[in-house]
Amino acid sequence: MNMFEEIEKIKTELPKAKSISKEIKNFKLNFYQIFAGILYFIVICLGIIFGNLFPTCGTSSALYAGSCITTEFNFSLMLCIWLVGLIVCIFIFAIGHIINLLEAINRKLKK
Amino acid sequence: MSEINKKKNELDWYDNPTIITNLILLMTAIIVILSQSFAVNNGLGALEILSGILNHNIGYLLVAIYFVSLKTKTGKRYFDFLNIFLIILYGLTSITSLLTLLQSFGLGSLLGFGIDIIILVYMIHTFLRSTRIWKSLSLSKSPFNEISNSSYFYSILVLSITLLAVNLISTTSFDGTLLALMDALYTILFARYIFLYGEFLNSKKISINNEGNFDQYKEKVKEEVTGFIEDNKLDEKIENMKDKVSDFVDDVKEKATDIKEDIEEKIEDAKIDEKIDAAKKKVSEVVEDVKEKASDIKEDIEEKIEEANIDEKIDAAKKKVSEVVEDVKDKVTDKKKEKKVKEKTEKKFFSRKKPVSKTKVEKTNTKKGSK
Repeated sequence: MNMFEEIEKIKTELPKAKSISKEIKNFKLNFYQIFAGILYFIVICLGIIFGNLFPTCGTSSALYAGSCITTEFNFSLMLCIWLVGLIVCIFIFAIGHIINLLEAINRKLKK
Repeated sequence: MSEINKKKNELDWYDNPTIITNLILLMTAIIVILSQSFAVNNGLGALEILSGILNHNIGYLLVAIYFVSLKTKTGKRYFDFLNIFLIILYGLTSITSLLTLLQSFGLGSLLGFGIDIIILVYMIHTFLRSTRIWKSLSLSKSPFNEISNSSYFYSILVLSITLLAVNLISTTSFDGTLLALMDALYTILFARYIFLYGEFLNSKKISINNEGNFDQYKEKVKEEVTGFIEDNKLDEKIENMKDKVSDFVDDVKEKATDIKEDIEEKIEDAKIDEKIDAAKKKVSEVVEDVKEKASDIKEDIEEKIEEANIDEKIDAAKKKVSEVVEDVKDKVTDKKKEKKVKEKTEKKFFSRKKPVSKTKVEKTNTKKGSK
């Protein structure tokens, strides 16, 4: 059997864009979660800036040459910064989520 | 079926997606290992390896994750999600190649940017075609959708060969030449993979095919269908079938009319209508009787209620009578007491032999009066 035919039989469809947007709209963010979002946006910008600031040697043919004639955007550095930023932001976001849950429990107990 | 299987087995290696994915994985492994070994061989420092070689290999490694996951069941199940991951990755790569172009403008960087952009557009218009995103973003109206699947593939092929030529001219070492060759082969194989998926979708849905016109396919299908009908004499077979079906329908109709007539006859025999009328009469009589009885019971109840009122009146009269009797009794008892007092006084008066003085009699009278 062709690989794509096999995939076509098994694969699950993507969710609807409307349902995703509805879920996002229903999600209420607290201060920590908004802060994490803003921080990640800053990290993304920082990654792009750092990738541009510390370029690597250009094309693959010139990797082992003594002198780099062309410089290339440092994609790996950018990805590293993004990954570290993502982990930190997920941590802050998770704290915000825990606070949300505790507040919800407190509200229920008061009732 | 056996002919179809044979045809499938007879596919050339460049038309078989499984072989292409295996080759891509093999090429990725060769590129990563060779680049590392060349770096060590050329005496590059740790910083240079980290910045240059890692930067060169990270794209291949991320794409290798995609192809390795396609070998698993879960990867096949979430094929569309993986495609989106690949599109995002190539989107980032095309942005970085744009920044590279801005940093050091040259023919090599320009060609690299062109290849990345074309691959990104090609992936969006191929991988998203069988998903919901295709409809929601109305990508069928996109001008890039007019470009055929093979045009995309050959444009990438030409650009990558040109980039290889540029790299070969600019390179001074054997290692660099070999690595540039590997890069070009990898890009062509990757484009081939997308091309094969596009061809698979084209074979599945004619209307979405970018090659040719839908009307042409319609005419082709018509011609094939008419040829098939003529070859197999389907018209005669259909006419025979029609006759058989019409005969069968007539038989069924006749049988249905017979059954209907039989039922009507049975209904008449049984005189069901008369019985129903008699039953209706009986029911109406019973209803009238019930109504009469109900009215009688109602009257009785009303009478009883009235009687209950009379009893109350009698009770009231009784009470009055008893009050009067008590008054009379009181009066009688008072009179009796007075009589007894009189009789006592007379007895006392006549029982004394000696005459009683007037003063004593008066005293006794006054005492009794005061009592």
